[in-house]
Amino acid sequence: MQKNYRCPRCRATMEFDPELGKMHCKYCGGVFSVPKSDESADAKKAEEAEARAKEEREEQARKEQEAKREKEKKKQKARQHAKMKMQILHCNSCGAELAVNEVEASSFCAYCGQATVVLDRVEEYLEPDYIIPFSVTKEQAESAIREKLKRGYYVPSVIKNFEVEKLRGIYIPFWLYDIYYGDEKYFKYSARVTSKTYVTRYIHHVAEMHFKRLTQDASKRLNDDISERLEPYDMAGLKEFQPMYLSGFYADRFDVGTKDAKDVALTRAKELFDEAVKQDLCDHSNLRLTYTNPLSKVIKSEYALLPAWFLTFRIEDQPYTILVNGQTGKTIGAVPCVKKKATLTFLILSIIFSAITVPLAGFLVGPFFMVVDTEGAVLYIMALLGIMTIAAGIAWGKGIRKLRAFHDSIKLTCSGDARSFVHERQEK
Amino acid sequence: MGIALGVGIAYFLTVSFVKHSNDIGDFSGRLSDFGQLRIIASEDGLHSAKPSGRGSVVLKEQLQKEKEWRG
Repeated sequence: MQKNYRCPRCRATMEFDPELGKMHCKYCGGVFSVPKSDESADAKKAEEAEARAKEEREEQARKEQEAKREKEKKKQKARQHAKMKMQILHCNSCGAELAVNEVEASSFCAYCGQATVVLDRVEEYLEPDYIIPFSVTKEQAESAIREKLKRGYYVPSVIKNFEVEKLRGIYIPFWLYDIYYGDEKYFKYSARVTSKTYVTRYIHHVAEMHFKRLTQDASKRLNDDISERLEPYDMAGLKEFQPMYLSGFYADRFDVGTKDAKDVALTRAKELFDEAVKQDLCDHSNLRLTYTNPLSKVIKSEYALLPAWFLTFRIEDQPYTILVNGQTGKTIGAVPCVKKKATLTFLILSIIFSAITVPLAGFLVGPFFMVVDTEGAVLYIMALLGIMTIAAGIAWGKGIRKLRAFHDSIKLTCSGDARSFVHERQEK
Repeated sequence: MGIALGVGIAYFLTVSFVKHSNDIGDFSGRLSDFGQLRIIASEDGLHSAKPSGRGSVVLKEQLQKEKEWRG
């Protein structure tokens, strides 16, 4: 029985070309060596074996992936129920509670700075999934704070000479979220065609972001704005939790469940996403959003402890807290200024700048009374006054906005949450 | 008006100096610390298009892929 040999390129029937001594396809012109009989059989067997081996490899990889996922799920489930024993210290002054892994003989409260902390009880805590251990030492934190404060001309000397005993390392509980966020937006804007004509244009923008371990603090006592200021933490430094990391440090307990923190995290994801889109479309001005259809989902949540050094002190019976990121050394906080120095600076600068702006205004206005007609002079003076009013308004407006931002920063570091916590305790 | 302008500038500078001296650290984490924006489609044209929902379909597919990949 004659067998048809098919061209491997076009599947047409090939014929042996004696001139070439090879198989020749008349349709596509392909020329192929005649395989040796055992070669072709071997090649076929090798192909089949290769295909089988490939299938087995893929099957193996699928099983390994499946096993890995199962293991991860079991681990997560086990962690959900894993507890650890912690000693709870209670502050009799502000009512704050902190957890430690070993007993400390005496200590100041990390929140209000008073030496009124006592061992209260032993409690079971939900064991975290991860922890970023402290890599900034107490000495490094102290020198980072002293460095920032010593350069401050308006910082009171009582703050510059803070006592080291009041520096405490605390692990702050955080929820870490992997979030998917996508949005389809439509914008419209006016684009200039010539100096006098504009045309309306439309933008259709579809984008997504995969947030990896977006942090959300899990403590009601710590203001979210403060914990955001401590960021960023380098998540590459995350380690599987071991209780030994807590030795010598406090751990704040989490009192914001993942369901509550999730909503805040999704809001934050939306703000970060919108900011990224704004940056992407920064070439277009006057964008007006006409349609948006966001899609967001929390893919994974994990519980972690992240390190921070707390320096608490009191000025006129008001507690203030400066924080240092225990991994990166970033220092945050705002302290009140020496009012006398600030007032003196303001007076000196007012004299200097008024001495420039008043003669300048006179110099610009004066000549027009002598040269130009009265009507023109009035118009010119009004324009000049208008410009100076706007400039003065801008200077005052920017100054007031900066002062407000500064007061907001001081409010954050005033441990407002701890104060209201104390107030509630005192009233009960 | 010259005095108002001079005093306004002095006020702005005083507040700036005090803030620079006493407000330490900057605000918030950087966007790139958490993820990168990935553009799926970006069209700029003269014609207004009614939202067709195509983009949302693509986003839902992407989310489904992400969920499957995570297991």
